[in-house]
Amino acid sequence: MRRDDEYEQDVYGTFGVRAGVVVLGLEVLAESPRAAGVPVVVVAWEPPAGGDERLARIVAGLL
Amino acid sequence: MRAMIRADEYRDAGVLRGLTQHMEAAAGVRRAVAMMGAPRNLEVLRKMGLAPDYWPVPPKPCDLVVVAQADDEDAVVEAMRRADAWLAARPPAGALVAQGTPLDDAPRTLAQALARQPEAHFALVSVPGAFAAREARRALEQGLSVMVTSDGVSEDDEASLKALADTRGLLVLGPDCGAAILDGVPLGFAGAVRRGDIGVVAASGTGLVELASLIHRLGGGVSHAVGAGDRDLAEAIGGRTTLAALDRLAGDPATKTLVLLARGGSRAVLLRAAERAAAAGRPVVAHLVGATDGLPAVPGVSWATSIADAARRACELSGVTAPPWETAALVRPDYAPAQRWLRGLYVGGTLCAEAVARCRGLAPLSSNLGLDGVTHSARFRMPGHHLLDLGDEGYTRGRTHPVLDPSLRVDAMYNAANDEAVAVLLFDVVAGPETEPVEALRAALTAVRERSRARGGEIAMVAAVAGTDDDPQRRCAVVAALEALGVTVMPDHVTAVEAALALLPGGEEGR
Repeated sequence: MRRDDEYEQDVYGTFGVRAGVVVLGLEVLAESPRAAGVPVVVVAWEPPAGGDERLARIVAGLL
Repeated sequence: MRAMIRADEYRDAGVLRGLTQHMEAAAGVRRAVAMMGAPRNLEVLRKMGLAPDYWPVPPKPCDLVVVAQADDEDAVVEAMRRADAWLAARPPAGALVAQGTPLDDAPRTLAQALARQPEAHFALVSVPGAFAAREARRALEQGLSVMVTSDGVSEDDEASLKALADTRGLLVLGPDCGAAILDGVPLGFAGAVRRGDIGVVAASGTGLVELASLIHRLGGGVSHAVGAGDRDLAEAIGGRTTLAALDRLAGDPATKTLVLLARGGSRAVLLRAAERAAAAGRPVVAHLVGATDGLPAVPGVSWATSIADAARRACELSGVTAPPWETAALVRPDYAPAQRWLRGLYVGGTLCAEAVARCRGLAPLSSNLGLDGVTHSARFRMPGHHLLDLGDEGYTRGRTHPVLDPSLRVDAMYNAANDEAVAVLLFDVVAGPETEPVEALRAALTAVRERSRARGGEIAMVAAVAGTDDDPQRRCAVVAALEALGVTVMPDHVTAVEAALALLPGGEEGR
């Protein structure tokens, strides 16, 4: 079994998680990757169109 | 009762849950709720009996709505004061402020986040379901793989997101994927699991956590555990994430053994995935949760009979042999004559499906899982044996998943406490990385015991705890806390189901 420091040598890892994670939504989900030493950026996300789902769909369709 | 609307103040579900708990902890407060003002949330409030008779100014979806119901006017005023103070201490994007990032400087979009951290290759999307597909698509277009924990994403959106990911060599985990372990990093509510050489591709959530933590507790280790999403093996999705994840694991030198854990979907797609796994030239263990008939032999693939069996077989293939679990003898309580039924209250859909499969010999049997041959019902109370997945979309619309927000299961447990026909209560617990899971259930479990005793009987309580002693919420501490409440905790989920069956009045012969 490999030691943890040997895994750390894979900068991007098999799934690219160790290079960095962007969190959109629940801020609490930033804690686990951050505790594992992964750089994390949390987006101060807010629903588009003031949270009006129908309006957001229309706007998205125009873009 | 009093309601407060804070205009144009978006808060995520984790913050809303924290605020609700903070208000409910105030003296004299009977119930409190904090929600965004989306129409479906207001409907939930109305059903809970917590909506005012009329709103002077109707809330908008982007407004924060706070409601408290208390014993008297002073208590309700104090609850609102506590809410104001709690929110003032947590400005939006609080985590960034806490790290020293000025609020005005916080990224508001994915593009702004990537400008700050261009090397990021992965996005975690947990925004409300109606907006999740849009954010996931943007992440894919920026070259990021995505884990979508949100539910409420349509099958069409899932298919198009996964097709886009395929064309770009990326992955979409989920939607409704609560847990994964990638590159040794636990994501969602996955806990601390030893790194090793067993690669896992699972449907999602608690099944993945149960499997990975059992591998750890048996002495093995996990290289990666991918949650593909419950619908990934459906014909319309074609197993895109499962197949792509298996290809990644095939190219990973650290992965020596593969485990495929499926729930539902198309048999043809599952067999295609099993064949793809075997083609990697590594030993493969596969399990279809809830399978009631035999699966065809696939060269190189060993079909397991349960999640626990899959963990044990994988460990053996990985060179780790663990002795059988030691379990305490079961003691059947002195039931009252009216006590007859099993009630299962799950936060994990995969575990609930495993329980239903094991309970198919019981009659009458009902569940909200919509399985062939099982009566469909999402009601808390049903005459007969009744197993509920409380993480199902039908319950979680407008509220947080019960792994993070225990209130729905607490309500269901009180319902069981008041039901004189319930004999055995079966449930799952995720030790996980976040809040201590037993404290929120303590009052309800105590009520289950005391109210059944007051009726001259006793409800047997049986639980399975997914997690490890390396988790911040150490599994051994969670188990001890449950046992102190009179709960029989079994070493793995399928053993817990067997224990619940054995404890039913009349046991085997009584079914």
